[in-house]
Amino acid sequence: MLRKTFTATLLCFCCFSCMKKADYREIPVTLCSIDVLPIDNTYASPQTAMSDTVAAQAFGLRLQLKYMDEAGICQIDPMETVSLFPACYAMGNNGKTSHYYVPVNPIDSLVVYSTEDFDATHPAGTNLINCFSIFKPYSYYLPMDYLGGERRILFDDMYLQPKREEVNMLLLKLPEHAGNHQFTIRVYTRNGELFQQTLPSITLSL
Amino acid sequence: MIRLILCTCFLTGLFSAFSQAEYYRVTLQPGFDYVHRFNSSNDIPVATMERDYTGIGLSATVFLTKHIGLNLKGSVASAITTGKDVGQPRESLEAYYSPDFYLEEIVRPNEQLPVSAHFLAAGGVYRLVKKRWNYQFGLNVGAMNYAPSGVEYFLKEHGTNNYYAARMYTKMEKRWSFVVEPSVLVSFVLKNRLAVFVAASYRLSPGKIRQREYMTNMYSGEVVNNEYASNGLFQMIAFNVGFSIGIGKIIE
Repeated sequence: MLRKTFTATLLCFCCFSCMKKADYREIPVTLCSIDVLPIDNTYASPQTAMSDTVAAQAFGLRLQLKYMDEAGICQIDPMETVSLFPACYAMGNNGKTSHYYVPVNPIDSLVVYSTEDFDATHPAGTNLINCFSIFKPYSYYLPMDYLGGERRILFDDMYLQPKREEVNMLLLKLPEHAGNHQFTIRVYTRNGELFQQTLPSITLSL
Repeated sequence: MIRLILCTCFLTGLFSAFSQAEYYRVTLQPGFDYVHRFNSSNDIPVATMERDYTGIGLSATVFLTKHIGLNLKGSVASAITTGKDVGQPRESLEAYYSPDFYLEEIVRPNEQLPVSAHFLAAGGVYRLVKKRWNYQFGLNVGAMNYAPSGVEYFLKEHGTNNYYAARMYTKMEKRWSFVVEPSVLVSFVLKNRLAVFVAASYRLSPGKIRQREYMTNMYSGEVVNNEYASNGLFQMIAFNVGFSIGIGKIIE
């Protein structure tokens, strides 16, 4: 009787321990590259700008951050799989547990600048990041409040490699005059990496 | 179900062998109510209260002659309000804001809150008695109240990056609104003073509806208030079942 009770208790303890670990799995991901597109938010949802002229009031930038987890790194680096402790299998997503992703190279700062003067306080080349806001249902966030620091990332498609996080930075402070702007976006990480992209020239109308 | 019907038939037959409807001076009719509200006649979102609800009611009739009487009735119903407009769902809000805004999402569309609805009316009735059957035709005027409605949702402005948190509150201008109610009642005598009844009535309630709309720009925090008033005509059908109790002397 005592032995049975002990065995049952041990089994329960093992089960609960496993479940607890599974619930709190943390998967590190590495920011590998960025992709930026101009967006037009005239209608119900933001769309990639098809024209080279967009109303400034509805203009925005879609920032696509591409991340790799260990499984992805193993795919592009087969040597990792033959190592003594292949992290890709230890930490990879098996699709059965709840988990969250944490960047190993968090974003340290974001810079958006234009080749043209934006307004009196933002001459060409100054950082315009404070003119943009990220809107996620249902709140506006300052870009660095949303993207900066150590945070958990939600990916639309967990199985895609590289994983993609998409945020729409909406222009909420308007330029003083209508005109052409060529935006450059720079993403600095805490590990000292720089990801940069310059968009084709676009006309912001008022 | 079949057992219940057979039992009812048996009891009805048994009672009918000994009973006959009489012209009692007073009748009391406690019973259960089922009410169905039809679509409102106005074209902006009005009501979040479910269209079907049930309650209990009491009707008292004092007959001045064999056929003519004065009726007083009241009911308390338990209804449910939801987080969405039940009469005119999402499409009506979309149409209301189009083309200036897009409806993003309704907050708590599946919310269910209990509220009560009250009805009080008085009028005249005409009574006919045929053996064990009693028929009453009535016309009442009175008042009823509606629970105020509140819908919350998010909007996106057309042509801009502006999103709004919006709320629309709807209520009748007056707490109690006027109602006219033609009705028909049929009762069957079970025992001398005891009968069962089934009744149906159609309620028409015209009234002024006030709507208050709050729109908060989620970026600037700027709040815009709008108030609208419109005339509405609420229409509903009510069914009642219960017992009819004869009180007082029989009018000869």
